[in-house]
Amino acid sequence: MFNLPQNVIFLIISSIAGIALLLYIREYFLRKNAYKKQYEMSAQTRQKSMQLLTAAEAAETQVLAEGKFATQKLEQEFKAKLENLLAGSGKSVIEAQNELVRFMQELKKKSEEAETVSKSQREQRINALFEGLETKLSDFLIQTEQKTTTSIELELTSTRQLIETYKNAQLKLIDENIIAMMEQTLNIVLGKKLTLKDQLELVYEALERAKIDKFIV
Amino acid sequence: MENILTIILKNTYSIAQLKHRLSLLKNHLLKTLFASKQELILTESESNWLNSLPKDFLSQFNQNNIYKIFEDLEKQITSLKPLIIYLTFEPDDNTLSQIGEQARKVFGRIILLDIKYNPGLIAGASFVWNGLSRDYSLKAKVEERKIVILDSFKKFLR
Repeated sequence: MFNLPQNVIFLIISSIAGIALLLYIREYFLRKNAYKKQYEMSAQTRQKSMQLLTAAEAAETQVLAEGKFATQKLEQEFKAKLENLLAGSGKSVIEAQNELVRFMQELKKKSEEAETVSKSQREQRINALFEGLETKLSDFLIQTEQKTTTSIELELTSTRQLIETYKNAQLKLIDENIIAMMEQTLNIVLGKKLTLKDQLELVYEALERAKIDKFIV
Repeated sequence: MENILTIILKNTYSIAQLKHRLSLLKNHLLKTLFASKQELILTESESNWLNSLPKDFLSQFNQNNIYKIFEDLEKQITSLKPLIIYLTFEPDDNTLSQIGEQARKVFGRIILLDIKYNPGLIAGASFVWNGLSRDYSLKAKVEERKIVILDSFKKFLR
């Protein structure tokens, strides 16, 4: 490195040490003064703090005194208002309750009236319905009876006519059979019993009758 | 011609009899006039009728007019209006003569009969004349008195 003489190095180191010592001393005094000022300042501050604390305590006391009074006043007001409110509320509740009871009673009364009216109307409707039903049923029964009677009479008349027709037809048939039997009997009997003379006499008689009737002109 | 038919109808009473007798007469005259060798087989009543004809009647016919006369006679027959009579028996010639004579006696003129058989009439006769019918039989009498007869029967039925 550098090849300086030792004196110079010493000299430099002695200079730096002297400067450092000077700086130290200076710093020492500076700090000493600062501490002193700080102490003074601290004492002043402590004093002022004490003063302030005292003032604050005084103020606190005042405030506390004032706050207690205000609190009591507020409590009293609040209590009074609450009591008023409770009283008013209780009264309102009672009134509301009474109103409700009255309303309920009114409602009950109206309901009973409505029920009575409804019952009456229902009874009237039911009665009217039954009367209508009875009338209709009666009419229906009368009509049915009339129709049935008419139908039966018609059937009877028809049946009687049918029987009468059948009877007449049968009687006519019987009559025709009787006549046919008689004619057949006469034919058989007279065919054997009538002589030629008798036959001729009957033919002559027929000719005479034809002349009398002017059938052959 | 009218004379010929009148003579024939004198004792001929029905249409069937008239046609038969005309046929018989024609055959007889043809045999006589044309000297035919064909033999005619006649019944007694047919012979009697032919013999009953007057001689001047037969003399009217000759070989020239015989066909014409019969042709005219047949035309006349178709225009005749017979009395249809329904009987319950079939009359023989004798009975037919009796009925025919009686009819002519009753009506006072020549009436030609058309005899039909209907046994359903029981007895008596029914007639048809000009398309109209009239029943004078016993069956008609029964029908007329039907109600009375039935009443009588019903009395027995009770």
